[in-house]
Amino acid sequence: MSLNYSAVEEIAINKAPLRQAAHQGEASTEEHDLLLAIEEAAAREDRSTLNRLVEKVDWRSRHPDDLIRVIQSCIFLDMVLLARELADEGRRLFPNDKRIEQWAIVLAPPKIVGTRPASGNAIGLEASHQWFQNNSSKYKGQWIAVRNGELLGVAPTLKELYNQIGQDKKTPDTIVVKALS
Amino acid sequence: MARFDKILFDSGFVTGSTRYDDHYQGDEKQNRIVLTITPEKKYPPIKMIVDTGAPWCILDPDLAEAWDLTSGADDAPIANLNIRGDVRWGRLTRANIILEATNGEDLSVEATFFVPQMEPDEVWSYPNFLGLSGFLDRIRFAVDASENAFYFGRFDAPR
Repeated sequence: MSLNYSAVEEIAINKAPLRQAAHQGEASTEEHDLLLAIEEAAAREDRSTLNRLVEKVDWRSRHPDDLIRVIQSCIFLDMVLLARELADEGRRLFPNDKRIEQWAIVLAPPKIVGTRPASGNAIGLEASHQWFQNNSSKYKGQWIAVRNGELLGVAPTLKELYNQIGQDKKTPDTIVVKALS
Repeated sequence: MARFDKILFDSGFVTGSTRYDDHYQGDEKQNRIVLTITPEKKYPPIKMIVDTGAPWCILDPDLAEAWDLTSGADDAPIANLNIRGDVRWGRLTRANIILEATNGEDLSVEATFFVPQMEPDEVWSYPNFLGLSGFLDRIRFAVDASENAFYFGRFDAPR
């Protein structure tokens, strides 16, 4: 990760009130008040009020930043379908905004890429099932690699584990797990 | 072969089945449905907990890096998520994963993952999760706890 926690927080939260947020549209005072009320409802985790207020916003008169803030509030409150609707609307209203586009992509429903006859890998993986059942508690907090029911390696970090087992062991029948501590 | 493979495959409800683990590794006191998931074109497979209460799939940041989900991730949307009472910032991103079948067909899905942002020297201490909006709500699935069978198929498969 190239960003640390505080940097992300700074980017994610525009601490300036929505009323003062830079916007290029022609939003009315009423619209600004509406967005403030949405933010307050989000802070109270009042989902029904937030849902009701969001429907009243005319996003055409808002800056994409405002829309992203409301999407983020919806995400935090697990209001995924509303966040998805907003991202889709944002995509229509702000087709050149790459951030909105990214939101629409990640909020889109999961997509079935395809099916294929079973590769047989899962059968090999079953052999490791019993090993994990019997032994994983001995390695709490450690990364473990197991193949065909045999322990390949144990290490405190994933990188060390990969160094330990080597590239040729990173195969479809090897399972890598970090045992919880 | 799982007990209901034939009837569920023939009906078109699902197209594959696999075995699940009862608990996540290192957490033997909690009953879970733990599946083995393979990232598309990347090995090795990992373990993930089926969690209909989680909106997104949640991936250990070290695995996300190994899957190349973090390179160029500066454009990925930032969100916060409440994980077991712990509010975490992270990035949402898409990745293809494969649910491999012991019987029937493997299923490949483009899913949404939440990759937590870490503070320097912080160690991620949670399991990996398969969430509802990020993965489960576009597949059909059924569980037979009597033999740890997880049946699955594409959402739009003919009945």
